[in-house]
Amino acid sequence: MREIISLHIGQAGVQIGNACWELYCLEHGIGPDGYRVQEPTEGEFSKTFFSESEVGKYIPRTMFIDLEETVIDEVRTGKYRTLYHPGTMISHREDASNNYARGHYTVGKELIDPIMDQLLKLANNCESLQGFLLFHSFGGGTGSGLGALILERLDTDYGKKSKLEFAVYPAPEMATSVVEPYNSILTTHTTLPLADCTFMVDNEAIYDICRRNLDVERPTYSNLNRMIAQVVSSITLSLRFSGKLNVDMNEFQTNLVPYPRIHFPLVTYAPILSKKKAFHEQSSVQDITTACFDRSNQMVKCDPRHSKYMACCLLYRGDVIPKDVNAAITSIKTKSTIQFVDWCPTGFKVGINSKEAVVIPESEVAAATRSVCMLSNTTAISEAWCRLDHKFDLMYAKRAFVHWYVGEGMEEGEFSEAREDLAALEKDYAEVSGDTSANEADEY
Amino acid sequence: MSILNVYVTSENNSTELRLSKALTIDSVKIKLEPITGISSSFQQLELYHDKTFVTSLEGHPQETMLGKFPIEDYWTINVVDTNPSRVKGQYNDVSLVEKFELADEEYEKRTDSVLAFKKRNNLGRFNDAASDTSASSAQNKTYEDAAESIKLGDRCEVDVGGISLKRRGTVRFIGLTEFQSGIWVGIQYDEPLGKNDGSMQGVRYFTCPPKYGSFVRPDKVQTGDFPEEDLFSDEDI
Repeated sequence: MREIISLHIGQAGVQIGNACWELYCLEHGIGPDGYRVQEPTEGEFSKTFFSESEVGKYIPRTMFIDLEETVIDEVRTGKYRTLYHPGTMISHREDASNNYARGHYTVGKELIDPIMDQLLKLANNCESLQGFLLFHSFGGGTGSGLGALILERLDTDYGKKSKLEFAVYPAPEMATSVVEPYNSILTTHTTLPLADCTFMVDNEAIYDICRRNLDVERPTYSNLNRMIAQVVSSITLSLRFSGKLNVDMNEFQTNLVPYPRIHFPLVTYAPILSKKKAFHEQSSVQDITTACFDRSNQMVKCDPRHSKYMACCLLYRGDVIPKDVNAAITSIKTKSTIQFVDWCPTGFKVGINSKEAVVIPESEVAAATRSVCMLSNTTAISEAWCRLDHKFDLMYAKRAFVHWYVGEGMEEGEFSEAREDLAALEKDYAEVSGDTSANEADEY
Repeated sequence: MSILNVYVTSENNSTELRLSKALTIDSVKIKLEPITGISSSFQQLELYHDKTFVTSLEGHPQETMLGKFPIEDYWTINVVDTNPSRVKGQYNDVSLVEKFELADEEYEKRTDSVLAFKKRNNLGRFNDAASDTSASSAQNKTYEDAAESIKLGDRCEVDVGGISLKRRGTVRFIGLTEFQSGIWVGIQYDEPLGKNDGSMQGVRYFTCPPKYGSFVRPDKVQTGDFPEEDLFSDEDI
């Protein structure tokens, strides 16, 4: 069994984790107490994500980690309180005050050894550990700082095991905190050589989807997190259920990441319909495939129209047959202008899994009989770095708030080093799309 | 200890925050410093329910706790900066500073860059043999096959696909060019829907008025009985 351990770090990580495991339980027919309410379906491999005790209780291979107690306390007292192993919930009394340096250095240091000890127990309980999924925000202090520290330790302790991230990325217009650009750029710099693949979601993009598609006027984090959980479920589906045309996570990753630094695929999901609207709309494979190229369904706000693609993976689930997928992709190829870079011609890759999407009862999202999650490595996502880098410059020009970081033992040089690395990343993306020597125009 | 989920807005941010009702207003303000970027001594807190102003959280004894106010889940605390010397847009108006860009020389020095990777592996423009790959010679073979049925002076219809319409014209050139490998067909369109006057990058292949000429691959050209389309044909009159 190729097991996966999920680590949920900081408020965003823990709350998304809560939503994800609730959804996984429903998909696998596991009750809130960890016991089966449904017999496993054929082709289900629940043991990648859950361990099974001798008495038949399923326990998530996961850890919830935060520098303060209140968010994890809600999990400890919530509906799923008996699902998790109590030892895998690690919290502290001091929060990170939105400060990367507190998460990465001072406060994080006090917690890292107990975290790694507990993780070792989880790892020893696996037959053949495949890798780790890290869930955290880039903007918060714990998510950015402790998240980076944990990735560093994973790299030393577990070497070549794969490390995938799901990251909440700062939204373009409205910041959640003023120091968000600092935290995000510091954490990206530290983790750039360590993470194999990072799926980003920006809250503003999801906020807009909630408002537009689900008629939620002022979405809360719990609305956003449930939607993120649907996306995570689709991406991890092939690890949990076998399928007709199941494409292993590793295979997608090989396809998606042509060069280690360029590991931030854009995620698009369709359909997202409210329970009210779902009665009236029946989405065909063609409809949902086309919707993937609609900017309003993207999890990060950026404009792929003039960008170049390195790879494009379509993960279908539910009632989907290959013939319809082929037709839909052919029509996409003729209609839209999707340009691939010439030096890594991977094109489209498709996975089909017949396991339909499930939704949690409280969710506004309707369960669709068929849905698709598209992961595309496009140069458009560098827009996200560009605007954040500039915001960093605006504050760093006056050294605004830098003393908070230096006060936690960080050196100022780490700021400029991180910012240079991100400038190089922007140039990397430009270099990806830069030359089109073998890519001729139709007409001269 | 009971936790509230509230929205916190200021000119610098908008977020959802968890606050304990047991916190004093002063400690709330300290928590809000790294979020809003406003020093606690200059913060003025206002409570809103949706968009309706409820009350100010100012002017109460220091030890007053958040829970003393009529605040509920998903109400909004708006933070006003009363610092007289604050600069408007100082943390979000990026036009105030120039963006830092890495110099090309600096980028070229890095060994972990995409540029270095492409150089090491002879990819993209560092691939000298790009035009001689077997894939493109197979492509050239299809172009040669398609070109066999095309003769100079043939009437034709060109369809490059995508959003452009089919265009009619006359074949004026067939053969190899200096701008791109493989066979190209030079077309003089009936209308000015082309890209040039029969020359490309300073080399002349045929002559026609500007914007009437174009070069396309042979497989995009269909020859046959394609008379000039009359814009003012019968049905329009």
